[in-house]
This record gives sequence, C-alpha cells and structure tokens, in this order.
Amino acid sequence: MKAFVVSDEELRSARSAQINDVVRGFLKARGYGVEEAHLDRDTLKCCMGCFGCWVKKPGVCVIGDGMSSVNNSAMTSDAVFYICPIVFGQFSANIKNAVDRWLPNMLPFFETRPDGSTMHPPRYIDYPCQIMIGYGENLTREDARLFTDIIKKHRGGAEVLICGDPAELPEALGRLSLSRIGGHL
Amino acid sequence: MNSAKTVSLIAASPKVGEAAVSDWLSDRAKKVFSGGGVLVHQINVRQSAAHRPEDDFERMRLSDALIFIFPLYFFCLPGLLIRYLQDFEAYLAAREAAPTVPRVFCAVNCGFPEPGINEEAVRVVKSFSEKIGASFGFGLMIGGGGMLLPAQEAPFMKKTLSAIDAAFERMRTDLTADPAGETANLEVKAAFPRRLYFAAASLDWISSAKKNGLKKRDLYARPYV
Repeated sequence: MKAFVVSDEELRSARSAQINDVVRGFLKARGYGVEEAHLDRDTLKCCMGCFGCWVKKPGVCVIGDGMSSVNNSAMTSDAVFYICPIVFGQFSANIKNAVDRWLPNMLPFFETRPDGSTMHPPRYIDYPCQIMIGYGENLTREDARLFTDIIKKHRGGAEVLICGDPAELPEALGRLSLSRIGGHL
Repeated sequence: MNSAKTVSLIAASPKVGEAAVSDWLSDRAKKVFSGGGVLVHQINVRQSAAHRPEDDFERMRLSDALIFIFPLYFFCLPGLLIRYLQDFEAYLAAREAAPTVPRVFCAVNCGFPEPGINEEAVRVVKSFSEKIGASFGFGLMIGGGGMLLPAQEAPFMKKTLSAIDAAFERMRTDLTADPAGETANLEVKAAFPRRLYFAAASLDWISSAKKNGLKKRDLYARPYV
C-alpha cells in the first residue's frame, strides 16, 4: 500500500507541519509506504492551458518540470493527500498548480454526468482516492464552506477534511476508506 | 477637476503565445468602459507576473474597480491567478495605510456548456474582495467559452455577445451606484446545441492529435499504469 502526500512548502507553518506529522504517522502506523512532495513557489509552473497533455503526449504534461513525477507518484498510489492552506476559500497557488496539472489524467472529451453536468471522462480504470485537508489561521466559516463546495460539488470520490485541531485528524482519517476508486471523478 | 473613474481589467489566461478568450473579453470590456468615459488599465497577468507586477499592483491599488477575467480551471481560479492575488494581497499588506479598492467584479469563462459551474470561482473572488476590504459587485459566468473566439462572427452568437456586453455595461453603471452593494451574478452561454458542441469538440481533439502525428487511439494512452 502506498500513499502520496502533497503539501505547500511556501506557506509552511507550525500547523501545517503538525498536520504533515499526523498524516505521515497515521499512514505509517497502517503500513503505508509514504512518498511526499513539498511544493515551493518555484517547484511547479502553472498550467498553461496548451492541452499538449491531450494532443501531443497524451497522459503526460509537456511542461518540463517536476509535474510528471508528481502525477506518476499520484497515479501509482492508493491514496493522495493534499495538505492545503485555504486561501480566499480555495487551494493556495502551489497546491492549485498541482491540481490544475492533474489534467493529463483525464481524457479531452466531454460527457454528461447523471446530474446533467459536464465532465471529462476518466483516462484510467481507477484512481487513487484523494483527500483534501484544508486548514488556515483565522479561517472563516464561509471560506471553509467554499473550499468544501469547490471539491464536493464537482468531484465525486474526493474527500474534504477541514482541520482545526490536528490532534483530531487521526479519528477523521480513520473513518475514510483509503483505497483506489473507480474512474469517474 | 477630473472625476473620471478608473478600472483595471485583469485578464488571467495562462495560455502562452495563442489567442485567449480572457484577453478577448478584456478588449471587449475595454470598449464598453472607454465608451462610457471610464479610464481603463489593462493587465495581462502572465506578462505582469513575469516582469514588474509591483507597477500593476500600484495601478490596481489606485483603481476604482478591479475586474478579473479568467478561465475556469478545475472548477476554480487557475493557479496563475491565485498566485497573483496572493501577491497583490501581500503587496497591500506591506504598505502602510494602503487605500482600499472600492469595487471588484469578475468574468469567468468555462469550456463546459453550463455557466453555473463558475459559481464557486465567483465566490472565491468575493472572498478575496473581502480580504482586501473591497466591496464585491457580481460575477459574469460564461458557459461554452470554447465557442466565443471561433464563432464570434456567426449570426447565432449575436445574442450571446450582446449579453456579455450588457454585463460589462452593468459593471460600468454599477461603478457610480451609491450605495454599491452585491447584486446577482449573470449567466451567459453560447446559444449552440449541447450535443453538437460535444461532437465538435471531439472532432477538434482528434484533428489536433493527427496534426501532431498521433492516431485517435493514442489519445487514450495510460502512461502511469
């Protein structure tokens, strides 16, 4: 069993370090091999919307930085954890760059989901489960709600945990199924 | 005494070296605002961030309104724009007694047909507005954005383009509203059958792949299995 943990190094704080420690400890105690990516300001470029990952090198980001390695680690894991500073109710820039550049893992076409909304079909049969752990100093209720909506309204299969006290995380993590899931995200 | 309002149009397409809907919308908004006597400063976020963002941050700080124009990436703002907003907030925080920008609006375009999918992105811009002490106006949410550039001259797009111009016009008149408050978001979508839009997009992907020497089946590659 393997888990991949992605965190924002640029906005690292005492709380984020604590969350990282708790998540790492939780996973190791359950026998997961843990791989980590600490994203600094210059680790990943932003997605440039070129769609090269669809029509030039299908499935692989064409930007020559560390993202192919990040996607490889994510896609070959059972679970991916994003430890996200919540900024204006969404992911911080470093985490969002990693999320945006998940695009190679989807197919370019459009399809309609049962609720009538549009989505890109999955490229793979199954995916790692994705757990987004959001945190922030002085986090407002509205921003926490927005962060949850951004993920839960549009991405089936992704879990959201808003972390106030890291000491409470193990219990919340223990309620999750950390196994790969079917392809429709 | 010159009492003309000033607006910063901030286009945040991450695209490099190709036409972007956000830039096109920014130009369209500029015509509406300039025609109404508003002074317009256009910013391309990618270029600004790569050179001297402080110059643009200062212009933004002194504007009467900021209008963010961007594509929806993974149901929210692209990383490029979030980085810019984080840096702008830090710029304001670093200044003593920084005046606040009175008003913020946004226009979000999504390749998916349904405009409502942009709602959370508008809420993020509203949250940003509150953090910098600005008052949020409303968001223009555009669906079927992939049609805007290639089909802009087509007769069936006239209504859509008129609705976009009307939304920018509403932002312009809102600038002088007193008291200025938040109003309902506007939804605009390309008047084009959903099934045809999907089919046209599929053909376009396959055609693009072939131009790159790939076959249709190559589009389905699974490199990380």
